[in-house]
Amino acid sequence: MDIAVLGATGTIGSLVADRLEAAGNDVRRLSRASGVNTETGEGLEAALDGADVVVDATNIATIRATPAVRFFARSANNIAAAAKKGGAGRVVCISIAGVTKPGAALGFGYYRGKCAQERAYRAAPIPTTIIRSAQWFELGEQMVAQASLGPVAVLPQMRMAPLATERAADHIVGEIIATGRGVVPEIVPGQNARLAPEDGEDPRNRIVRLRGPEEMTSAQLVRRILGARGSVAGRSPSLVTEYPYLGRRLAGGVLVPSSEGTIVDDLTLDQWLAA
Amino acid sequence: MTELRDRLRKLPAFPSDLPVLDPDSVPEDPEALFRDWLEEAIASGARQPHAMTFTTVDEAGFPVGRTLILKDIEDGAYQVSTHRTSRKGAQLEQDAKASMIFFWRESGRQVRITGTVIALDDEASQADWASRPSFTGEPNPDWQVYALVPSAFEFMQAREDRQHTRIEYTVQAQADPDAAAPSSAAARTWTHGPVPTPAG
Repeated sequence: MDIAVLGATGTIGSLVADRLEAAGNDVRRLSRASGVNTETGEGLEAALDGADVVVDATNIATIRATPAVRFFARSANNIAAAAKKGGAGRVVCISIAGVTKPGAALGFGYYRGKCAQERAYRAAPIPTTIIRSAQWFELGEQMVAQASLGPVAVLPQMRMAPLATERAADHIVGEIIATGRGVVPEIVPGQNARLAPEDGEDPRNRIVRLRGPEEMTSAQLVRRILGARGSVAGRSPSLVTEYPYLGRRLAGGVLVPSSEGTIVDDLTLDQWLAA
Repeated sequence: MTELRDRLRKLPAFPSDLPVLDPDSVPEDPEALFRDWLEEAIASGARQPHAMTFTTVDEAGFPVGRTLILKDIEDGAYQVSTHRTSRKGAQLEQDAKASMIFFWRESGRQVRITGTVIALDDEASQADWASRPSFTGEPNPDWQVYALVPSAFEFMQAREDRQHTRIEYTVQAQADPDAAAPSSAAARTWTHGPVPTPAG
């Protein structure tokens, strides 16, 4: 297959591109650096023309709603239109588990951006697979880098079921290869639910959910990484605590995928740390 | 000796009928003691018992204090609200370290809370905005509720003889990877004891 990966220099994009290539696909590694701007559409049509599948692994580094919504909504619209025009079978969008649940994005502007992205794909003129992954272990590093103040780290309290990014990439690539240009695999009732067709959605659309084997909170994740490594992101706070400042719903477990058929990766945090 | 100094020295100090702070019978959780003192200040009819000096650090590293009202205590953190674009908002953006000093002069009590300030989510901020007397029905995206997550408390009970009683609480360091260890700000464990340095 000929697969275009947008955001190919990013954390998940590069892992997905590597794996797709290793599996014998032709991969177009696309990014701002390669001259493709998904938000403005610059370079996009030419970059996607003739690809079988388009993977949207784009990202923007912001926590504020306004730039996040603008970026994700515009990018999704532009990508879907360019993918359709270029003859792709479908778009695969990498999203985050739980962010579209009621109220989940109230306290966190970035998640509003991801909601806007999913909404845009629901209305897209081309079949879409949305892969909603739970948080990745590396989130602990980002949190410590952002929330440390001297010896104190007050993390946003989030209950999650994290998994290794590499494993998330394995599952994402598995889905891309299994479904190819757009033949949806057999649907087991309740499993990997399609976007509801009764709402006028295209039944060729599909949602895949990923999570890790254990539930934990932000502080528990960070403490276990600190316990194994001594420092996280170059810091070793002696006081790691958490507070529900990104909203109570995130602290309450809305980010933990609970649907039947969710893919549960089996690599535990301890195994990942020991590797 | 200036004339002012003379007059200042003659001002009355603390009276004899002050409450007593017994270091051996204080609760393990500083929030319980704080709430006791706040409730007693409210019940006493003292003016603005919820007012305190909120100190942040400016861009040059100088402490900057102002009087603010405590809005709520939730999940172990102490809330204030302001415009995000205010000077204190800008200072907190740069440096999240802050302290609150409550002084209830009638009972001779002072509490200092030191910690890290975090910005709460928009939902909490807009709910606070909507509860203000000046609310006209329009949301204010610039309004921000901040919560100070304490890492230390100092409680002082003044005495007539000026041998003031001071108890400090310090949060237990928790880089402990034990998943069962309490992690939320509300569930942390504290150690406490008398302040070892002279009161002055």
